[in-house]
Amino acid sequence: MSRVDAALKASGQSRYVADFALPDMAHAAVARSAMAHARIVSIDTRAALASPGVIAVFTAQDVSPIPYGRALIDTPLLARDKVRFVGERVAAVVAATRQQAEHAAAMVEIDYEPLDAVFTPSEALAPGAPAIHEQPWAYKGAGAKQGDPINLIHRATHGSKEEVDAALAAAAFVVEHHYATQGVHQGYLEPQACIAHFISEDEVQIWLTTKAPYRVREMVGTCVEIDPKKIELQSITLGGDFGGKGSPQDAPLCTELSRKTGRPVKMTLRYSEDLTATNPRHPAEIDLRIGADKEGRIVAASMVAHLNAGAYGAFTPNVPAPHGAVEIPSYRVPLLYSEANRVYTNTVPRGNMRAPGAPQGIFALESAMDELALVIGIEPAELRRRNLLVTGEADASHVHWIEHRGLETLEAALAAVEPVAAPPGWLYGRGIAIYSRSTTSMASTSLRLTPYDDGCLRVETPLIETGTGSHTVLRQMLSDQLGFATTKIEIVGVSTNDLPRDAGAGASRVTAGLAAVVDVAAKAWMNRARDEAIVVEVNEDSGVDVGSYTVQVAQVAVDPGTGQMRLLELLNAVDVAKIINPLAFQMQIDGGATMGVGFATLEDLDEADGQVWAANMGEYKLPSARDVPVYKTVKVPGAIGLGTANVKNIGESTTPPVAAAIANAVFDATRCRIRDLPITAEKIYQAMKGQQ
Amino acid sequence: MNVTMTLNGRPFSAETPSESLLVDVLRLNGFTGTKEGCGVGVCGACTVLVNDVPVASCIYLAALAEGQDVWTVEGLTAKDSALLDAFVEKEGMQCGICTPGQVVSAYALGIENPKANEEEIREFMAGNLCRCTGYVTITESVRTYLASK
Amino acid sequence: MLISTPTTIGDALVEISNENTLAVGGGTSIALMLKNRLIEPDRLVLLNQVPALSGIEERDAQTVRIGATTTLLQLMHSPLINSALPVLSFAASRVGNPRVRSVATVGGAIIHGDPRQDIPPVLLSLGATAHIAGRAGERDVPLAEFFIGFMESAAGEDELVTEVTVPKIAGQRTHYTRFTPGSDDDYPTVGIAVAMTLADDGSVKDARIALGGVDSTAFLATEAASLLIGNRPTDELIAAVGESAAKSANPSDDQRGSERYKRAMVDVWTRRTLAICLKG
Repeated sequence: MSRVDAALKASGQSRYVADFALPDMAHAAVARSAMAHARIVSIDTRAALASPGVIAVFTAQDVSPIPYGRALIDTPLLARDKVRFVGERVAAVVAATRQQAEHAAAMVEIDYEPLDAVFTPSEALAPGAPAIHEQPWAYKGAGAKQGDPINLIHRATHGSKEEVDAALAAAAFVVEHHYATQGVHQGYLEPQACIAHFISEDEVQIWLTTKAPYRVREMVGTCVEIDPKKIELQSITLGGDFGGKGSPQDAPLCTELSRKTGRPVKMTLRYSEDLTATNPRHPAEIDLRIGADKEGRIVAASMVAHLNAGAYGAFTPNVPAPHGAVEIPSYRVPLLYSEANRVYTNTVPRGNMRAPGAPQGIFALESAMDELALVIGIEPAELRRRNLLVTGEADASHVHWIEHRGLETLEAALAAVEPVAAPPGWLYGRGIAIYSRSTTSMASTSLRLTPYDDGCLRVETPLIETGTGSHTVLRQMLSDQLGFATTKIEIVGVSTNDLPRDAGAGASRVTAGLAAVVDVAAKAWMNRARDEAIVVEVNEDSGVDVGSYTVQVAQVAVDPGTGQMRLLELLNAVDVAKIINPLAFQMQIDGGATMGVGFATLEDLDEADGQVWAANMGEYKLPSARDVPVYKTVKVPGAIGLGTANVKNIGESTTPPVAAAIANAVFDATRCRIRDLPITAEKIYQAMKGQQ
Repeated sequence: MNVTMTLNGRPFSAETPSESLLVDVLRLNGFTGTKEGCGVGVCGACTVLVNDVPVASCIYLAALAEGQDVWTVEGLTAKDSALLDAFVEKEGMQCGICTPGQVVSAYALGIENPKANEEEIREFMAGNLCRCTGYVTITESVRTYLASK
Repeated sequence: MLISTPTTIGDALVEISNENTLAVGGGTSIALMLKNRLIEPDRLVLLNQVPALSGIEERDAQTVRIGATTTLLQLMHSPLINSALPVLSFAASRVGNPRVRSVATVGGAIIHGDPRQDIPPVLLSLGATAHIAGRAGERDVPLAEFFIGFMESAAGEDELVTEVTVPKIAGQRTHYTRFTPGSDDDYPTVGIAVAMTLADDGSVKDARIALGGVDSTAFLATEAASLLIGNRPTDELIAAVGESAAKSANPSDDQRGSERYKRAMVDVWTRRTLAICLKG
């Protein structure tokens, strides 16, 4: 039986935020900063106000002065006094139609006094760098203290640098390299959109392209000073997230605009605004040193990352070291120093994107593992074999997973891979990379089950269907546990007013979270009074860590005359427990890998001088059906999963290792090492020329 | 201006600004199955059929549709049940935002080259981006649809 | 904004002579510019109802006529083009995606003078001629003189390209290379079109090499081609032709490659494209 929403989606009946209209609804568009860093001298809104259809024009002084954010509260609704990146919201126009609002927004005249700007972490941390925020330590949730470098958002460290330096100095083999990754976008195909309807201080309704309605409700309420319980976030099918839609987006602004104009206000971004002014993935600079003894066993490692967080830190993930971009999740590292610096720059603010930090960090780590193997003189797979964690060992952050199945997964991958022929005249190469990701369920969600007279079951869930198939998985789990046929179960997404809680989709734990609430629901269902609806919830604040390993093998061909690289095949070996829905599971593997392929070889926001030059999809290339390789999957069954459902994570497993697998394969083919992404034909060509 | 066309086999006319794009005319008149993604004719979410060929309605002037035969995902899936069945059976979707465009393009391929092989399917469908699936199930859906013809 | 829908070339010429008026073929470029508020015309003249601007036929035994509003899809599927000028239908099949090919026209592909388009170098290599009509009369401009500069062509504001004529040359060997090392669905880093004929002794009788994407317009690498004429194509000669073509290019840095890389790719792909033509 297919997905719960398959027919609706394929026939165009599924409704997304952009498809909704309310009676008397007005439309908003914003005027954005053309400057990377400048004082706002004046804003002339007269021409915009006189433009046809315009209802009102707002600047910072007209809206709530309270900033918003997730961990760090630093983002204004509209720029006050100064702008900090090209694309920042400066003024908002409300008009009768979307076209009229956009037309008028282009007529807002902003007079600037330019300020010195910094675009990279090294520029931003240099002595004498201009302050992007005058008192960054004063923001709620600030991680930096007065006296820290002015543009440092947060520095997380783990371990002792001195001990690691000493161990590396004494190591038989050491590699030390610098790796860099570019800015890339989540690339969901549904532009961000919002409708806010401020009815009264006690009733606000919001339709938003979000995967985390309860969290958004809190953030909107705090920003516009309305009790979050009075704000209702509707449950709307989401047109792709990948980490890009966990923030409140333009909901706080639209709420203010609705409050001021007395009408429902809708704002839908043009995709160029998504690319240039939302929260894409951090570009990273990573310095990595790994030392090994004579037998090729890692003795120490140092991993230092500088993450370009852009002009606001509100939605940059605040993970502690040694996680995120400085994670070494799969190997035994007796001594580890890691340091992650998140730095303000005058560029677009960054946020979460599928496995935050890991695609950058794993590119560096898994490239460096191959570089270390070369220095030692052993096969890349053999180096990994000697260093993969085994069950019973703690990882570098001292966490014990239930089990480690890296070795089995590696052997399964190597056993399954079959060489694919390169075109005549092309060089052939093969590369491997490993990633492992832990998940705790930390379930926090709720459900209402209502029996119908005809023997069907209505199931209400606050969980947003982001596209992963979560509603289908929920139906299947309920069917298994309660004995209803899937055809007799109706899954209905409901608003934040209808059920008490949901943590939002993310961190690869949706299925595990659903499994936990379904367990509770099954028990409550058995004990219920006849024909009564039941509401159940779970809200765990801790959980057991299970890890899931992914071993990738990339096979590439390189045209020695042009540097052009073709990804012939990408094999994913994944360590699995029980799979609830094989097709949905497979699509997470293939889709995650495809996003990794884009990151590795194609996608680039092409940032320079504070501008995102790849500002439309003609320039920002997502992989198409003919850009993707043949995918092969090997499942390594028998793992211990979470809860009675015995499930593990998959959504973020196959994206991070792709870039290193390809870089390692390119090296195998050409003996050229590419340490900065994306891996383009030109980089390979120049490296090969340099070698001659 | 007033634009008149045959939409999903029925007469349709709407009053709209003369610079309107076809996607806006369709969506503002309730045909929201047609999605606007990239807005520059690249992603394919807005694909509709005009006189049996696929066009990007987000960069197609509504004025050009005057007197033409226009079909959207709603009309095509109602007319050709094999089209809907193929995408449902093979689950050629995840979030679904690109799906209407994929479905319309699959139908257009059925007109242009109903015997398309795997490579020809991928080449034709390459203009319809999908960020979720990795394209395997979409390609499978298109193949299943073509086989039904 | 007014919309005019003339049905004859004469009426279309009258309409486009109005102030601040633009002619619309497939309309995608104009739709994008309107959407981004880059243009605010008072009037659009739609050309899709002018039968005299469409159609593909043999003008005479030596010439193929392609109406300006012919779509790339029609080029792809035209039996005449497929038999007489197969490189043109091949190139059309490589452009963009099916939606682009459905609406993009031959006239539109050349009128904007966009250096990244695929059709201009192919038509240049085939020795095509653009026919331009204005209220003052008609004129023929060889394509080699048609592309003036970046997004600039020989057709004036009050003129229309009505058709393109392409000579049919017996025994002509042709090929078009569209080098897209990133996504297949992107503008080419370099586009190289070659058309050549060989004498019975294996020497090159005639050759044209046209380059796209590596200067402000598509252009003929005449010096490179002239090296071939009258000579037997040896490996050394082909290397010299590649080098000469690379020298004639004047590319700029962008996401599809640096100036240096594009120049190097002109060299490589000129050699490879010639080799394909010679192999037949």
